[in-house]
Amino acid sequence: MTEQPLRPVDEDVHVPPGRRRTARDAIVAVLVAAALLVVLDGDGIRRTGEKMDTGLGRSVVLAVGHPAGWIADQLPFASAADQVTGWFSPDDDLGSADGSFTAPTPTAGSGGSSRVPPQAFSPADLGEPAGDRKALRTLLVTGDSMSQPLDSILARRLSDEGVRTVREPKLGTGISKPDLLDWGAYSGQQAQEIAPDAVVVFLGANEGFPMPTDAGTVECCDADWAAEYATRVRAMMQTYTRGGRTQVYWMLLPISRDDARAEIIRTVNAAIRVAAGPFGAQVRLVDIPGIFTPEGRYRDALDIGGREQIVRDADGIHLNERGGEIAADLLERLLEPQFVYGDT
Amino acid sequence: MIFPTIEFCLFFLVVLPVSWALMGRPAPWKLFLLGASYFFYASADWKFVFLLGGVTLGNHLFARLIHRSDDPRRRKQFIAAAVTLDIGVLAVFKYYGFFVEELTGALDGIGMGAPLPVLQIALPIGVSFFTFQAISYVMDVYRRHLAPPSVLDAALYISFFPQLVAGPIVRATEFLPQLTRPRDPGRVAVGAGIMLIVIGLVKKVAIADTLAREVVDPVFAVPEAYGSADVLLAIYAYAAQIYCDFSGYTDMAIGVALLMGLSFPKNFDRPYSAKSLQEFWQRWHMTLSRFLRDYLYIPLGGNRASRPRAAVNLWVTMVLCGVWHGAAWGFIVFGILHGTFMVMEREAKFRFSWRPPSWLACGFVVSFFAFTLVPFRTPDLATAGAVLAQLAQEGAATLWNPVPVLMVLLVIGGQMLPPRPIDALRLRVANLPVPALAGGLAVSIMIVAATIPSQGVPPFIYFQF
Repeated sequence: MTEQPLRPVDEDVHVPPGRRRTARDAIVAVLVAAALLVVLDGDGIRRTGEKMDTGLGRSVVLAVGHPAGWIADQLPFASAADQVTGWFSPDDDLGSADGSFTAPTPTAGSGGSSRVPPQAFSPADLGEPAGDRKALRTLLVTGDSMSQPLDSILARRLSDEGVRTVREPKLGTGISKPDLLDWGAYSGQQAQEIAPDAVVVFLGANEGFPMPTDAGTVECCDADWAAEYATRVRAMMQTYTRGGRTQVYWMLLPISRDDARAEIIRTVNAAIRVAAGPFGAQVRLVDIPGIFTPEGRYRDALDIGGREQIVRDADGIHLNERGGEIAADLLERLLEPQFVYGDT
Repeated sequence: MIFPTIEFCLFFLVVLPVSWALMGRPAPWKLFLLGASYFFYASADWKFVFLLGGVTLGNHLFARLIHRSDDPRRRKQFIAAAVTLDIGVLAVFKYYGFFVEELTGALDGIGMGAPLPVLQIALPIGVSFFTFQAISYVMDVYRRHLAPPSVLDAALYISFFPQLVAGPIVRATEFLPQLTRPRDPGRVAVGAGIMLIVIGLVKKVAIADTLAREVVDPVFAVPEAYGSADVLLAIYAYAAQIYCDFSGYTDMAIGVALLMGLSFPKNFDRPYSAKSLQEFWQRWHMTLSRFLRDYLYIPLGGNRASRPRAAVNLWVTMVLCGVWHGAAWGFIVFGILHGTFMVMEREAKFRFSWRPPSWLACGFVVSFFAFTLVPFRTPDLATAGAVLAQLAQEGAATLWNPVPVLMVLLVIGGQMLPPRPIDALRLRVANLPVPALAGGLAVSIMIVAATIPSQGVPPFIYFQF
């Protein structure tokens, strides 16, 4: 550090070198760039708006995106630009084209939704002695941002046990907002491509969006909305169980600090409980709210070993690293009686 | 609302022409900019607008009291109260949970209970930046470098949207004179502004986010799954990522301000070309470094004190620099490592005449910074240990793909090249005619937008500080 006395600074000293132009040039340059973007990528503005959460931002972006998309559709440049820039895209667009939830096609052996497989009953349910534990070779941990940091904590713990942990967090997504990611279609893709022995799903931080049904659009959070949500969750559970070949652990959500979001979370948890009913032992609900928000009341900290420790993130929604550790402990206690880690 | 989004583009398309249209009438112009800045801040979380307003009014009140008083003792009391207010805001919102949790742990160890409720308080975005600007304002008034302006000017200085949430930390003496004299509409650095916006976009979206997605996040999430080659790449990739993420934001902030006729100080100046840690901190987050120098290191006595005392001053300054980033042991360790090594570096300069060759010094500084970022990046020290332990584990280089490797080489190695040809190129681009600049901006946005994953642009790293 070198010492220099403070003194008033000439305000132009920080302006980089280069030609000075007029304010009109600045405005023209920005407006021309915006106009070019409309011509070359107007459809992109519309698509981005459609994927945004409901609110003022979405309305404004769509108010611009719809006419911009229309202009781009009338001209040949947008499709050419798409072809040129398409290969830069880091991932596939997993959103639903028309904003609908795709009911997953049952995977081979999963049977119809009305058929109850014998795996729905655990030996304990039937008063029988515990059977042989299955091998856990591949564990899929998926969901929205709620699945973090749980996914990496589980992956780290199981890495020396011969378990391949596939982490697929899809941030900002929700079952009620298939515009961004269609969980119906995506769960089918995951089940088929990864074929996990067990799946952990922690999803629901971004719910509460209107959902279209055969009887019209349902708004959060009445019984109609809960029923549609439960129907979608049940379809995903059906997919993930793969006809009894995969054990599913579906995490119930801890209540959030914010009251409005807490109401949505209560409805989501109620819907998940209803959805899981027919699956019996195949889908185990993990009682996260029972640990983190007992009696339905939000708490920042928990008494752990006689000492209060913070378990939630500053946003009052997610679990922090310590909270993730507790959730991972709970999951390991559920996994251990059912699985032998790795091939051994 | 963050820079590389359509919402910000639309916001700026309105703000830019209206700002210039109102420029001739100072009061409506400033009111409009203040309204736009508060709208920008409210888009993240409207509740914290009251905090921003409260910090502004509190500091402005103290600035006026300090200015009016000729009694040195009273002035000292007022400045102490103002700085306590600002540090208090930081303490409550940023450090309370960490402090109480650690204190409770320590007291439990000696059989005493928790003295305060253990709470996790929501962190207002940009709180570290706007409180530091507020401190700069009252300190400059206290030092009589500045007379308190109108409440409108003070509010606009603290909340001006391009630098509000992640800097650069602009001094009141740099910004307020720009509000008192109308901006000259015939002398706008349009080319430089557009070029900085494009460079910032490329750094953040195309480089920083790609490195995070492809290399850094997977390795730091589950280090045990990777061998030494991948971990080594991730450590250097994080150094490249954090540079592109943070300097990309400030490039865009400076570029946006330039188009509005206002200027901010530079925040980065090829930090990876530094040949000593002292030089590194004169090139990295320069506005924070000078803030700490002017408002902490020099008031502590700086290097005018004895050598041991100067070493303590430097060490304390660097540890607090680490703590500024957040409430976690990783940031404290980061500060301690930098403070300790800078003291050693200074002592070595006094004691030895030998100087390492430039390439060695440069390589050492980059490597030191990259490795000290490990506790900075990981959620706890145990994970930092796990990352470093993996450096001893053999394993296939699964992440050494051409794109991330080239990005790391380009970002770090590129800064070590002579700057003159790059500066000349930048000047030529900045001097291009307006249609070429507009076309370049549009094409750049389109290409950069194509690299955004379907889930959108991740937040800037420095938003959490």
